[in-house]
Amino acid sequence: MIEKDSERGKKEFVIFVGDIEEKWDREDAPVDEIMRLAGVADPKGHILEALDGRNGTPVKEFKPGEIVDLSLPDRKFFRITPGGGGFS
Amino acid sequence: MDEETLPPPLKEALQVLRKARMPEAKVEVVVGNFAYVWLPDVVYDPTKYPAPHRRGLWARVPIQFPLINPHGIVTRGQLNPVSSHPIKGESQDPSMCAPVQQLGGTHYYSWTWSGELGEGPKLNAPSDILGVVSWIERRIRNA
Repeated sequence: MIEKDSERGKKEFVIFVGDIEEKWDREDAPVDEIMRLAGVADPKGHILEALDGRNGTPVKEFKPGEIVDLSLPDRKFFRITPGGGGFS
Repeated sequence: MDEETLPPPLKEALQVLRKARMPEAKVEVVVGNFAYVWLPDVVYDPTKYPAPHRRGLWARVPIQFPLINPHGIVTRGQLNPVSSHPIKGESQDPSMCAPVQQLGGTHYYSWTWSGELGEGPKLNAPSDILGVVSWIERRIRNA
């Protein structure tokens, strides 16, 4: 999470999805939109993982359709991981 | 293992993997349609597993990657979550560990890309190997 005041007094949240930088002007960010901005054409089947630092350890995961509160701690660095799976 | 004999997309995937995450990653052996890819630095969630929290394991990556999905991992020692619950997908078939047994491979987890946990996204490019690594880390975390 990075929060700073712009000249207009609006909060801005700068996040990184891998090496992709995104700037959000609101704290509630849809997972699908975060993924699309990072280059994922179809977020379905992917998981957004919040990391505890750049290239850090996942501390929370979000699925498409969910909202990320960027004002919380550990909401600055993310990575996109394939979801799904099974056993044979 | 002479990696020059591998199909170009898999060779490119290995290059991406080494550059971005694990310089020591390598194909240990090819058995049938699968390469046993050594991943020396896989993160184990410290809230769910005892130390060490970075361990090596082998991922079974198809030589036709990314056209075909990965299937299974071989670990050195049993996955040992602090909760001690059994891990789904552990195979009793020793033949799956045999190709890397001399290197310490002891346990096979027959994890598929799609199944009971949902359908994995389609793999499109050699660089998707990085997603395979994070997929394995997530599977271990949620196992």
